[in-house]
Amino acid sequence: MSLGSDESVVVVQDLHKAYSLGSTIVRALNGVSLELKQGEFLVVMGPSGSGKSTLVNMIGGIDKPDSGSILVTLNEGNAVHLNELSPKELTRFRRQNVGFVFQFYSLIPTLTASENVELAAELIDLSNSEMKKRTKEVLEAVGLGDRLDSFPSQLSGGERQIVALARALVKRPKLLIVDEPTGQLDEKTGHEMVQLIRSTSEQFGSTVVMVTHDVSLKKYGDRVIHLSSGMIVKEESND
Amino acid sequence: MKKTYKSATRDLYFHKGRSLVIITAVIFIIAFPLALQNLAPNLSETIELEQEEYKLSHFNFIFAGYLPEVFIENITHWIEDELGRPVAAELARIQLVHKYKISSGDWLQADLVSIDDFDNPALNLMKIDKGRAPITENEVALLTSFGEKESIPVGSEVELQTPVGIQKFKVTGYIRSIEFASYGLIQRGLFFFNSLSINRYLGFPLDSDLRNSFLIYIDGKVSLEEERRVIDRVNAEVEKLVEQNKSPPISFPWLTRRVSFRQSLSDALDITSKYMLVSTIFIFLIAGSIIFVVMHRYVQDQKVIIGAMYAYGIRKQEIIMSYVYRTSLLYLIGSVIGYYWGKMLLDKMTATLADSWGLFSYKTGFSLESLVFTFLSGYLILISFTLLALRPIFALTPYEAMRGRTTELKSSGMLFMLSSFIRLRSFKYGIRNLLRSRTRTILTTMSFILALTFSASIMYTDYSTRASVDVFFEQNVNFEIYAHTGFEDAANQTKLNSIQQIENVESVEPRFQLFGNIKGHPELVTYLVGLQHDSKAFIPPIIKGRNIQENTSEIMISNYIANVYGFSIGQTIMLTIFNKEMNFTVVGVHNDSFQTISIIADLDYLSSKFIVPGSNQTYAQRGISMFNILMIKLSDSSRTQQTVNLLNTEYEWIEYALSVEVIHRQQKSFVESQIQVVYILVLLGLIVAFMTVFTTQFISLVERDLEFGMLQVFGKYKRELYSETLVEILIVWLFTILAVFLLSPLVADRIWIQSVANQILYVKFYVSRSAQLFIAVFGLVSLLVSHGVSFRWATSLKPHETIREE
Repeated sequence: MSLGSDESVVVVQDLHKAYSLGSTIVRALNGVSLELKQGEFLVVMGPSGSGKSTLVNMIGGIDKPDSGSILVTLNEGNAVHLNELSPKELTRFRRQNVGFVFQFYSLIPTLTASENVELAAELIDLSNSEMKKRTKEVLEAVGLGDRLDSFPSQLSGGERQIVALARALVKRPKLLIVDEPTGQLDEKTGHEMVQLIRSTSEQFGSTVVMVTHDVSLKKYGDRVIHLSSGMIVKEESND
Repeated sequence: MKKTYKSATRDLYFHKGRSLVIITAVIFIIAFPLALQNLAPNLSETIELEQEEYKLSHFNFIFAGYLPEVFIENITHWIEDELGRPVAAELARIQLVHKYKISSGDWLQADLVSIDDFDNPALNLMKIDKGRAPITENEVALLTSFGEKESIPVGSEVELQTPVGIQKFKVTGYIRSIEFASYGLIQRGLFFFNSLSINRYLGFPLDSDLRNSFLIYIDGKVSLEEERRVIDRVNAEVEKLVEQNKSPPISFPWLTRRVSFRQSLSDALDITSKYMLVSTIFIFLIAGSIIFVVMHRYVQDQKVIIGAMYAYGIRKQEIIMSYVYRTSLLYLIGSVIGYYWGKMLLDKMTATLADSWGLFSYKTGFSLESLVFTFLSGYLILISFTLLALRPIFALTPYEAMRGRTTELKSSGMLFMLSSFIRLRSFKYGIRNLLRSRTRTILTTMSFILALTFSASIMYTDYSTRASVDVFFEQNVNFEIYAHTGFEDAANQTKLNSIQQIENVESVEPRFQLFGNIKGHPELVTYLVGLQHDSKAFIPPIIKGRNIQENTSEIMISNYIANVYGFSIGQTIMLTIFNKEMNFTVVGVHNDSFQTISIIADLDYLSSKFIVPGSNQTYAQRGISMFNILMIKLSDSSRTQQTVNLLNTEYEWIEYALSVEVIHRQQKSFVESQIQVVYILVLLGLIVAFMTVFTTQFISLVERDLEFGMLQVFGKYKRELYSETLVEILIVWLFTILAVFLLSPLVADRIWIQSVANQILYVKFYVSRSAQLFIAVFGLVSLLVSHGVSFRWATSLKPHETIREE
């Protein structure tokens, strides 16, 4: 596969990132290059410390590389180099284009399920009625239509993660970053969760990058890359 | 070291912000109470030590006329005979009250004191601050604070309106005397003469050795009982001489160490102690709530770890001890800093008051009792609030704790549900965030309220005290000039008529005013004031009982006498006036800001009891009033200064004439000196308020750093987060200000005014709009600054760091 083809929405080239942990320098990414096509579901696998989260954080605009580039073309003909954006521009990028689902839900405890979802919808300019409509629609799509007014503390772990997914999807993100979504869930719920991510992202037209170390989940991806020591060591396709 | 303790120690380092907040709270509960408790005792000790070091006289017998200098030997003999021990030092001098025109054009009372030996006075030692003592008959020295404040430089010439006309004297130096308070406090001029220059001033021959003030200093303590005996003995001896026409009567026997400015200082110290005690309680409450807020949050954050430790089988007691250890460690650091800050604060406060009261020096130190009390109560507060914060965690099972279940983060309740109807999201989220941690919100708001109420109520008290004096002068004083004459002038109708004939004089009302002693209380110097019972010029505000009736032996006592000496309505008290003992019945209590320690009697009654000098008729029988003060009302008050000038320069029989404005200023200055500590407390209160606002704000924002980080990851701008959190603090501010506006008048009126300020003067509570505005703006600015700084800190995590932390 050649890098930078016309269909690519994300083009990552030769990413390097090092962190210092005390006196130790940890090379989290060590020359990673990859491409993501529109609507693709990419699964990133690898052992702990292989650089999975660092990679998706950079694709999602949360972190910046030491070197290398991330070219994102989510709006037609409007490509941006994330590595060149200021923190404020990165925030705008995330706000308009990216949905996130993390292992620990990260729901706001003082907001109901629907309000947690609305919180994300507020970030894009929607009218109040449109926001309400979309929220209801996305929560129904993920099967939580009957828990709209529940607070996070009143939901189970799986339900909280579903709210987190709905929150990510409500703004119809062009890019959905999902980091260890099943880490807090049992196996059955975990599979149901990833199926839901797959189906709803297809429904909403999002390109997905999902990090997991659960090998049983790799079957849900269109493509799987394996990282080790900050490098892609293996790439599989689920055609 | 056990692992739990090791982890606790490291945890304090890893959460530096939180540790700093607790250390700050500990500094509060150590530094402020230590300084506050020791201020009054330190000043009191300073005054005591200075009295000994500078040999402050015990007695000062001021005579109504002059006697040869050797007369002091008689007094010494009587006292030694009475006490059965020798007098250590004696001094005869001239002491007068006269007048001086300051550069602003106002005339002031001026005390004139002659000293024979400046280099080595027998008692009442002095300190020459600048220049030298006067030597020739043309020289004077000034009280340092007077010379400095009125810009009369050493080397310059002063023009004095002497009994023999205007005379010029050269100012040779500035002197401080143990006997006199600072000019800022008493607002009276003070000139030091030598024996030659005072004779020149009075028009006596330069070699005259006549004196009117005889002072005695005794080594060691002299009890009040001994002082009473001495006064009675000297009075009796002098009375015999007066009967034989060998001596003028004693005008007034001063117990220098108990009366005059020393008394006002000890009153001020008494008030200071009370202010400090109440302030200490406030500080404990404020700091306690800060500690609770912080520890509560601390424990909440650690609940998963606590649950895990609990689950591993670590005993509850041990876990509790690890928290007690944490706070104890912080207490140790905070208390050491608090001790030194307390010392610094005490030094500053003592220096400020000592300087304004005209003390020579000051000494500071903490008493053992205050150290034990402060350190123990500080530690007790810290540990109590820590345990209180830990309590809810131990109500959970280890599993509940580990899962992060908490009774604290509530998502229920009517208000919480009602907030769903709020359309404006920032308000909705703000209210919910406040409701989410109710205990924290309540305690944070309570800390703000306590801290701001503390400052606001003191400001109200200060304002009310000044306003009470102002209102008194506006409503009860209906004359413009206060002219002091001799008693002999009362018999001269021509003199009185001459005043009435001055252009611009509308009316003149006589007033009698003399220092008097209540029998058995030589330590209590009071002004005995004779007033016409239906006086138009001066209307004493009655706060209890009723006014005196015409021609009766009824009196009204001032609020101070009633409060400090416990006299009450219906009581009969004996007063000594011109060696004559007279009984009076108390019928009312008045609130006289003119003379705060005064007894008002009927002028007609007094006139009927005293004989006009040189005759055998009473004043009443002669159809005149017995007076030594004229209260002069002008038809055009804008020309007061010209009339005062005229009276002081053209009427040599008027000892001094002052505008009521000057007396108003003096009284205000006196009352302010009594509550001077209030200014320091206002400042301290504001510091405490700011620190409280800052620390609680800091904790409540910093604890949400991950939430802010996540919201930024989702694409929320910092400015959006800023405005949402701002709404939260504005809601808190609104509640705080409303509560402060409701509570501070109550605290000011019921605590500060009723139990503290009212001792001297009956203070009526007045709402100060400027104080309200100041507190509202101060509260808001403190919140905005605290919010800005804390927000910056709370959002310092980068998005990827947030994810990693999460």
